[in-house]
Amino acid sequence: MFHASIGGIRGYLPERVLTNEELSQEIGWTPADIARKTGIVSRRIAAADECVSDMATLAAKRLIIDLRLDPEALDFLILCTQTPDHYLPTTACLVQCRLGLPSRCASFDLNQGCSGYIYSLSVAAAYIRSGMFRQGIVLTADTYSKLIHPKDRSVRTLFGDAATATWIRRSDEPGLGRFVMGTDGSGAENLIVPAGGLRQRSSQKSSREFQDESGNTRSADHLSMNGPTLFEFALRRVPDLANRVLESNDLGGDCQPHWYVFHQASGFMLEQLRSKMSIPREKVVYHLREVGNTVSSTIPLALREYEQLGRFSVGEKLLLLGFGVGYSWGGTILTWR
Amino acid sequence: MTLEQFVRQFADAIQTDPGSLRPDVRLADLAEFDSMGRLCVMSMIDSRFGYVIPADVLNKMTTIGELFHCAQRGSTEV
Repeated sequence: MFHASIGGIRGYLPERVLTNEELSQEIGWTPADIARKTGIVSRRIAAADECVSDMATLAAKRLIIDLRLDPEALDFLILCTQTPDHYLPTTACLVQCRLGLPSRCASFDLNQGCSGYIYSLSVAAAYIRSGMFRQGIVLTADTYSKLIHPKDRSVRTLFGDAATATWIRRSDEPGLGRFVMGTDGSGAENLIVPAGGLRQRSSQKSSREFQDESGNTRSADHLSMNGPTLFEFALRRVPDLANRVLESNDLGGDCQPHWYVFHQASGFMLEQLRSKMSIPREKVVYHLREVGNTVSSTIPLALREYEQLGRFSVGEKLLLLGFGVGYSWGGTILTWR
Repeated sequence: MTLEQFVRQFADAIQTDPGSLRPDVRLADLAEFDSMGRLCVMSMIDSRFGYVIPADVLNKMTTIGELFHCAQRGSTEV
């Protein structure tokens, strides 16, 4: 069997910065309140005419140029998104064309959110380990901001838009470890856009606005999040996920990972999980203060940020954990190269 | 943990003065028991009782005293 490794990561953030000061004037909370509740001081927002294909293409171009990749040699392109340009065709096809990737390049979208980077890595690693492909790109991109009602504080303060590109390649040394995945669709309604699909099409009825018990305004066309229920899910699920990933990768006990890279859901969530799992603060990766929760992009953005800061050393073991919308979750070990 | 200790822990979780709280205070009357306050209380109960209180159960609690007994019951069922 072949090994699969990450060869490099690049990110793209939209130009527009939405600060807590600006949000404060619209939603009533003070900038300090927003920072205290979320751990976020600003987030990036895609332009009105900027879609996932645009952002993903820019992230991929950076990766290809910076790492001097040969586009002709790329075997696959996986685009993880929940906010595609169209119902069809799959947005990955648009990106393949814009990047000028060869027609033999397998390209498809993978619809997952907070667990999406892990899911995408698992598919890429399986392609490479099986010998079917040698290298490819995993893209993550979302524009949740386009689904958020301006007066819904619960989600507007949290989410930011972003895209990332990760080069996955065959390697002599193991990079990506064994994966543990999971699903519990009974939690679907706790983070959802109820209308706009074919189950409930967007209509005059679906666009009717209402206020929830916390005073947030939205309609069925907008993103809806049940924060306490998602928190309950994370408290129950993530520690067990971490243990199972460690066990399946022969870690645990005296052999702990050097770094814990959680999905950057919110500052509060990260701190509660860290505390519950008794992880020293210096072993946890934090990267959401200036970008917010960027859904499937949080983990690769955090990896890139810490790489640029020179925080990781070759050979270190990183525990990657994605969890959220679905409910869906997944984890793996990444050996830093 | 005694009920009095729980009231202090609860006050600490929602960042309010423990002197202003009694076991029969109605949760719905506490401005600090907002969405963020609920998360903090869930976290406090998990860390003190080893019990992840379901969000829908927390929503049904009417007083701090009732919440204390619920957390105690939950911790024995874990």
